[in-house]
Amino acid sequence: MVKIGFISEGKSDRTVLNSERFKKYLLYKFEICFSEEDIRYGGGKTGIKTNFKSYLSSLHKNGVDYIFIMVDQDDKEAQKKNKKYKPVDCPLTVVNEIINYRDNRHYYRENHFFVVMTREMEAWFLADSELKFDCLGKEPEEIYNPSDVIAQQLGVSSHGLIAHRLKDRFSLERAAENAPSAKRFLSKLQSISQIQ
Amino acid sequence: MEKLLDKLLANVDEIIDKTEDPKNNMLRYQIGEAITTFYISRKEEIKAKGNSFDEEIIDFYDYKELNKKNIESEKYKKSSTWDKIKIALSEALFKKDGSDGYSITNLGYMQQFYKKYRNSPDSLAKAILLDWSHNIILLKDKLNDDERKFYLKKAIAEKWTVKELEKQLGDEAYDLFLRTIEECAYKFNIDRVQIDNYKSLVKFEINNPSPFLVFAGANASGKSSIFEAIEFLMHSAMTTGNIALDIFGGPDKIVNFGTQAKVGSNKSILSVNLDLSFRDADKTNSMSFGVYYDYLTDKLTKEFTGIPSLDNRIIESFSHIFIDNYKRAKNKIKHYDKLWLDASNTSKILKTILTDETKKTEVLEWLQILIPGLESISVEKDLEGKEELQIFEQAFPTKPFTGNLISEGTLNIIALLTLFYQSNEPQFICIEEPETGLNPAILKELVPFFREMVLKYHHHVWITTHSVSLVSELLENELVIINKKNGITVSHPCQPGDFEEMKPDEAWMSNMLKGGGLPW
Repeated sequence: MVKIGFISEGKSDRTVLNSERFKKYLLYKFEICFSEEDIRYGGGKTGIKTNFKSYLSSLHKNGVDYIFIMVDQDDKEAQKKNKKYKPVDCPLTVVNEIINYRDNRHYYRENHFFVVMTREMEAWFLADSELKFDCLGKEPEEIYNPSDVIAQQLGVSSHGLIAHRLKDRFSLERAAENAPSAKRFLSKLQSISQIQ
Repeated sequence: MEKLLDKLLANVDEIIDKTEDPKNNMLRYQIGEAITTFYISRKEEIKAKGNSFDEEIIDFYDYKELNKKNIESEKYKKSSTWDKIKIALSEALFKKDGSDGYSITNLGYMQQFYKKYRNSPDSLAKAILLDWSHNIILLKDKLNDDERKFYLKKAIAEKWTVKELEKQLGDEAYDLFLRTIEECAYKFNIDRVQIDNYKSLVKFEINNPSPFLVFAGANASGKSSIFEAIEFLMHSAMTTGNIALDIFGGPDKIVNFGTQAKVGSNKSILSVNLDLSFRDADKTNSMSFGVYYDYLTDKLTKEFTGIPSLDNRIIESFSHIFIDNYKRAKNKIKHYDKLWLDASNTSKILKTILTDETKKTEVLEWLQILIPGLESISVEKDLEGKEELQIFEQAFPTKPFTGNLISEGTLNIIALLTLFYQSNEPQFICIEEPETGLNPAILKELVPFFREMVLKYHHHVWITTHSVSLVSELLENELVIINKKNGITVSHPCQPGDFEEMKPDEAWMSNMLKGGGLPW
């Protein structure tokens, strides 16, 4: 049995990750276990890198073997106004950014934590064909702000509420068919799983 | 005509025949009850018969073939009719039983035993556990109920011998106990709080908590129920019967729903226990008090160990405050000289505090730190003759702000200060969400304020909060995370190292603390 933990930017990711459906999927498909106590909210990329050490240490105390860092690549109008903001374009950049921050390098272990990067987790909802969202003729992960697209189609604006409505219908495997980041996440899960 | 003596003997015989163990305190209690109730119901008849009753007694001796030696003595002849009846009964029982367990003195003790304990079933349950010789000593001495309870408990807990009990009575151990508590000036330490089956608190226990303790958790996770359960304990100590249950909404509302469903098993008991210790220079006096309610039998019992009953000063030291939440404060018992649950009598209590110069200086100092621009504060009578709170700002030193002119947050801060300075003795203060209407900067300052109150006045301050600003100032041992899982409240007192060098509020918000304490 492999135990995993998550560091996510916000709390709405947890609604999906912590849903009974997703936990059961991890357990039966990959023999991976995850409990609600093994997720940390970084509150943005800056938060993740500044508190990286603390998150890592507390997750290790919980006996976590692998850690997934869920990073959003969204491109909000508000963020564009901030001149210093540069949208990250590749998971490797994020990894570098994290491990080069202060003394984080000392705590980093190869192949021990993985960065999963998508525009927003909502892009995976768009990619799930069963959920029947209109992707406006684009690939789901090419849409800049997928949460806005979903919000418009569902008629709700709260990210928490969107996740709450979709958590029991969403399938990571279906999303992986249309979203490369979900596919990468899935293959990482497969690679750490002891079932080959 | 039915013969009285035969009837009495038959009553007592019936009780003895029903019991298997003849040396049983419950049997003695029942015999005492039978004799006493018999006397009460036949008193008039015995009086009316007067000396003519003697013949009936002699008849009784004759046909029961009892020893007549006693009847001939001078002492017997001077005895009252009722005493003669008891002597005859004693003789008859002696003849049947052969032992001297039913001597006339012993029958007298049985009657006393019944009279002393008939109104206090809790004490009776204890007295039954002790030997008869212990009980006789406790009956002999002129003790009041509280004292008797104290000695009963101690004798059972510490397995005192008859000699030891006599010695302790001679030494007046009870008075000594009260004096030590007095000498400690009621400086108590909370050792343990244990709550079972009160609302969502199915099995809640907290050991050696910090005197300043903050409960943080999602809404509806059971934080307030902890305070409510302690308050329920205090209310049941102040009331008799099941009144406390009604004050808190009735058993169906306060007994855990899961427990209600399990009725019939021995797990259907709601209980709240509080263990305190009073530390003197060289020794520690521990006491605990608890309340047990059996949902099946609808019986409420109170347990006190180390103390005969909940001392008034301890009850009065407890305050559970919802500032400005009059709905929750409804129906609760109010002490006229203490701040009420909703703090609606702040002005009245504050007036008394302001008459003490030292307290006034301290209160004013804190107010000036927390509320910028405040000059002074006073309580005066308004036109209707009611106490009215007046606040003076530095900008307008002669024009007071009163009534609606005073902001909600200012009133809350004043209520908080009033709460801490209302008593000279240490208090156990539980405050629900003190953050209402307060600026985050003030909330950060409240933490050192609470700590100072704990250090200086030995208060115990327990609060519930949703405020990140307040949590950001805490130490690990001051924070308890509360969660609800499957309808059951689970508590996680934070341990050293849990914050992982992060600020406490950040650690809390990033789901790092055990159990989370977050809605999602």
